[in-house]
Amino acid sequence: MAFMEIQFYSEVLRMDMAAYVLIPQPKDPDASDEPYKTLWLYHGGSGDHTSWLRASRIETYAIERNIAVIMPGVHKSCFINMNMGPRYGDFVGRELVEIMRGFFPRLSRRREDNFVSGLSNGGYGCIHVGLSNPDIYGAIGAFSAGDKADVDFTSRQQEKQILFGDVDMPNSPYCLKYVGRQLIESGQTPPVVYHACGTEDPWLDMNNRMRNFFTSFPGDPFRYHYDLVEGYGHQWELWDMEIQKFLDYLGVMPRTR
Amino acid sequence: MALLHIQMESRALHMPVPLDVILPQTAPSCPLQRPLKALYLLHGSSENQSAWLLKSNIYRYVQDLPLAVILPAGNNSMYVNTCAGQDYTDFLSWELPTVCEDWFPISRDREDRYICGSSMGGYGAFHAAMTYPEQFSRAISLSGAVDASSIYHDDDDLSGQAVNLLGPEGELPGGPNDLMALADKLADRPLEEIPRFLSLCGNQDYLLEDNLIFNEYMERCGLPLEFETWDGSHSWDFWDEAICRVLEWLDIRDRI
Repeated sequence: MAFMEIQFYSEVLRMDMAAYVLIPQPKDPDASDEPYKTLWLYHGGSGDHTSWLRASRIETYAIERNIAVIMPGVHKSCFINMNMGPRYGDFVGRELVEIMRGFFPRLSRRREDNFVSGLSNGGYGCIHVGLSNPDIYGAIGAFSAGDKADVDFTSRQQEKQILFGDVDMPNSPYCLKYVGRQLIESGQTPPVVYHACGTEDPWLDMNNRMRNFFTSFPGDPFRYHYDLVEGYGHQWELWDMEIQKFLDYLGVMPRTR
Repeated sequence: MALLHIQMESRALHMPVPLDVILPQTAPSCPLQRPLKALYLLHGSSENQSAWLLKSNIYRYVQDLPLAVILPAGNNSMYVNTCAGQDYTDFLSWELPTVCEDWFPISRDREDRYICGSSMGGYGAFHAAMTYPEQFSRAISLSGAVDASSIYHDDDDLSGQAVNLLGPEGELPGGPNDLMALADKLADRPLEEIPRFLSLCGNQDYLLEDNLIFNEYMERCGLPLEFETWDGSHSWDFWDEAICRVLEWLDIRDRI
């Protein structure tokens, strides 16, 4: 496994950006040349592209399961096209994917092989990106994630202005439930959704509301799984555990343990 | 152009190796027409893989060229298969290109693979290309330490390690680290199997004499070496100019 920090240019953001990348390294000439399953892994509100590598054992899991992991940073954008800011949603959801596939022809282009995941703000972000781009992503792994449309911004007007503007949140493309309903109506295949939260999480209610949303569709189109974990709060111990369980849920198993 | 800082695994070196790569970035609207050419660019003694990026304008010079520049860490090894058990020649010539050609849209054709270096890296570039001519079509030395015996005596960063790297001084002549001995062997091959060589050195460089002697030897062997000098010393000022000349000489067409 090789570890890389990549500095590249985003046309969408009009600036240089950075990402941490883990890529399998072929050990012998006869190793298979199967395209790599790829995990697009998002940081939380106070983090950056280095967070996952520092706070979890993601490299070990990537080696065990022979997958590529791409960890972008999106500054303070919450992974969306900002109202008072550049189009981070288009950048992280689509442009980044094209750029990385340009560097690494061995990254799989099949949606079944591409998973988007994240914690906290990145949990909101990965659901938003996954539901908005079902052609790219076959699975979403959201940890400690709520819908920004369920947030009370009354005392946080400035933050709301910067990110979303004066919109009616529940009826805007920033609302996860809105995007999800549109996706189901479009008839496109939705991504598989794995969702985890700790019982001690301060935003447990918001997570439960997401569970209610995903389980409201007949026929379980999202193959939705909710892991509510006793005793855990909004913490890395949970996220380090859940990234493994998410991959297990998808059948992307460790080769030897 | 993107910049990648990589830590890769190496069997030849039995440890992780840092690697910087300057890699063209493509857009979905204009994908690559053909695989990229690759320049393996080596630093000198006391330096590491960031030397070229910090001390020259290489990043700027290669913008718009269909070329990947690959900058491995040399770890004061003379880029040889050392007596202390780390096989840098094999790493540079086989392991590194194999891995890079697997990861990146880089050509697997020898014609598109070039190796170049400054000082210790100049020796390293010639040494790799002369040991494994089937791997590189072009090799360039910039003020190369082409006479390896000088390492044993010069009070430079490597003197204390010369024996651990190259072996006892008495065993150098005629051995695998003696560039003149490699030249003799190379001369027996058909011309199409022999890389093209370029050697650049400053007029005030303390290694100029060694380079003149070596170049003359290559000529006597009938090996295709071009040599150019201009005013300059054993310094990054010279190598920043020299790398521009190298890019011209490589004549990389088909701009992206």
